[in-house]
Amino acid sequence: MQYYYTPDMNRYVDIVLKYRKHIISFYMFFIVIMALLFTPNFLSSDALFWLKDSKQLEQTQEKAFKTHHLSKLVIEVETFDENTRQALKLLHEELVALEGVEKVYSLFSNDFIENKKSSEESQMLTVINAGELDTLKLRKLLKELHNNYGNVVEDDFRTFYYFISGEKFVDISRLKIPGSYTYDTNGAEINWYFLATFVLGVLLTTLLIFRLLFRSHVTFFSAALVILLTTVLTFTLIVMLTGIKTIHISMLFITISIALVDFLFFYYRWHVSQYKVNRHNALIKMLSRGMQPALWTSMLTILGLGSLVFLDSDIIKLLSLSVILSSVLGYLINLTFLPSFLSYFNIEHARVPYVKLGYMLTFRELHYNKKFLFGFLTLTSMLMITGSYMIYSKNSSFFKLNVENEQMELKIPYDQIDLPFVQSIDKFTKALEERFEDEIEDVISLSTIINNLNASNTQTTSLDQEALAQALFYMDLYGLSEKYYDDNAINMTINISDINKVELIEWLLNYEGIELYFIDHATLLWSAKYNQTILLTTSLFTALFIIGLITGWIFRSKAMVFVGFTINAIPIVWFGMIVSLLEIPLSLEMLIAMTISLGLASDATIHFAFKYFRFRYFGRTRKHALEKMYFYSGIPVIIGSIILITVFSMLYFTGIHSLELIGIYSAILILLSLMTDLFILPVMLLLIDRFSKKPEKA
Amino acid sequence: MLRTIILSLGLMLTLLLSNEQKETKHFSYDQSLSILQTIHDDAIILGSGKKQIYVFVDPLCPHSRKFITMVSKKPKMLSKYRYHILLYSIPRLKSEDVVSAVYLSPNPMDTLLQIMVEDKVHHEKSNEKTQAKVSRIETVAKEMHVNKRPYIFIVN
Repeated sequence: MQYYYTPDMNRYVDIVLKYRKHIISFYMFFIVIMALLFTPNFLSSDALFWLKDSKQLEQTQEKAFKTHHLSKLVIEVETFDENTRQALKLLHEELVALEGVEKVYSLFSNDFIENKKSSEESQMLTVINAGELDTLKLRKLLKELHNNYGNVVEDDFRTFYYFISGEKFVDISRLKIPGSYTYDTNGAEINWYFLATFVLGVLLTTLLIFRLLFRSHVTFFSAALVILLTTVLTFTLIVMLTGIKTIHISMLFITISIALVDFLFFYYRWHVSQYKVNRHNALIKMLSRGMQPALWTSMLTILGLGSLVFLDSDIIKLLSLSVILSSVLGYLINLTFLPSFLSYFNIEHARVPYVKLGYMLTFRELHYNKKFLFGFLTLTSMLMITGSYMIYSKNSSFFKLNVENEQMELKIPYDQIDLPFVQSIDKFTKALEERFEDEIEDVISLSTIINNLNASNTQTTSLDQEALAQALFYMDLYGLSEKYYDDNAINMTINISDINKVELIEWLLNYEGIELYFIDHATLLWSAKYNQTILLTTSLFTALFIIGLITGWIFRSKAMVFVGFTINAIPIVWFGMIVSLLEIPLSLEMLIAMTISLGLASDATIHFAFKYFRFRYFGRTRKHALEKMYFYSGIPVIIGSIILITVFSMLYFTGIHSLELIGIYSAILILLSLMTDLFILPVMLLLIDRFSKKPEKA
Repeated sequence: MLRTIILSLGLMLTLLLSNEQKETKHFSYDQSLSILQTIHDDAIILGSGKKQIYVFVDPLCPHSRKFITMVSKKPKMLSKYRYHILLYSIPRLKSEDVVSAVYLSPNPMDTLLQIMVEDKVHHEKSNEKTQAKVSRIETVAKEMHVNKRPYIFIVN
């Protein structure tokens, strides 16, 4: 199965033509059966998907702590008068009463402890709820406290924040909200109606692009069918093989991208081979020229990403299986279904786009400057080393999640609320406030309320067992206990002003002295994402090395190990540099985009090298081999990339944060992959060309 | 000159003594508990919880009233705690007759709640028995430096 071998496909094409109706019917029947038997559930919610592998969530659930979603309602009012105050207070009460809401943190949930008074004989520690104060007193009190409640109200009393925690995201559309508002649900569920409209828009755009490029409707319909079959079979097979039913919607794009590019290599060859009288000629050409490189690309995917399937992570398992299965299934469908379907059509005056571009690039690249190439490769290697250091070094600044005015909720279990326990919480709170001095607003915990109550209690001085008992008594008296502790754990809320949340999560996880559990989904999600990101980064680097090794083995050339590795690494390395310069944190969305790019770049490497070396083997000059390579492999890559860049760019308008990021990152990475395929890969093939040692014909 | 020296010494002595007075020597937990147990039977009981609390209140003191109102109206505060209420008057409120009225009534708890929660104030002249009770409480309160009402002591 070397690149110079041409399989005889005549007999195979005859069989396909004879049974074409059966083949098409079989596929249609098969996907319906598979879809009915192994229906996957597509999810758009980041939380539910990533949390499947969360160790922190597992620990939290083991302790039987209830987890919940946190959302933020921001209200802007013109003036803060008595009517507005009452409306805002009423809103707080209505939010608390909503179904599924566990608690609401706002200005009106705050309790103020009256300061220590003089040595009056009649006095008692008093706690006042902000809701009981009128506008004037409230303003005065907050001014006295130098607005320590900046996370719930701005200094000008025009912006108010309500943090809502509950079982699900609440529907606030029926509530009477004063002024204007924004409701940040922090990763809400997808609007499937909107998504369906979006998919329709994507399909129409693709139809238009295919029509413009090939001047034929056959391209679009055959592409749509191949992609549909590949996608349905990939995900139903994943459900069948792994039993994992929940699949993130972003994985659809991995399958679509790989299936589309694989399809284009086959279809394009059929499209440009329409000139012969024998209408079967195009099918024979399509299969005999496409099946070998496509087989190797599938093998490359299986061997490169196969080991990831065995990792103990559903997310990575699903990602690698999506790539592997779509590549293998796409290959089988392109060999069986596509020729059966295309055999019903023929194209008169087949139009071939971008041919001139291939000639132009050939002319330029034949006279490439070695110094520039080596300079570029050295720079890329240095960037790769720097990137690896940034990712794996202990003080990594590559993983960042900057958040402003958010909350984080923790549970700390206890056997008994005694002095040593409160002191340990106090020590933890102080250490946290010291470490993140300007980045966190405050920490609301049992120790803070106990210290505040004790400070205002004239009967006690330093916090001893007696003072603690009194503070706990006053907490019961003013109904504060439920807010701060349950039967077996205390609640802790960290009010974040402006922070890299990943750093905070890491600090909390590494803190020794108390056992703590995250209970809000946003924090659990980021903690899970952080762990998965490191694992997936390592997996991607490993896949790059394996792809390099296999590429070398396919072409029986040590130099191709280097080419295979470099061509796949270049887009990722340069993309990494761009995001570092823009200070965009490394995220899982980025790594999904990198997986897509890796799948596509490895396909292009094999197809380009196959064509180039094949023509060189048969005695064509370097110029001619390069021209043919561009004509047969370059153009499908250009068309595939244009379509994918368009589709992924459109994802930016879905309004779903995760998809927006995957869309924009993938579009950039595919563009970088295309640039690498067109400008670097041919030059590297020229560089390592072993046929150059033989004398060339003019 | 001599007068100035005497005056200065006098002033210094006054300051010294006044400073000493401010440094109230608080009883330890065990000492307080032990002394409180001597007046255990003089207390009016409210609530049925496991946790024992001794509370010094004045029936006419607004904060004591707020305290009693809050605990008596919250079922959780009555089921979790057991209050041993000790009536200890604030001199300026002149509540001695009200305290006597409570002690002399057939059901002191009800009378106390009427006075402190419902604001139905009763007055009675004290007798030897009530005076003795008031005196015992006062002695303990002074020893414990009970300087405000309500004053609470929680038994661990």
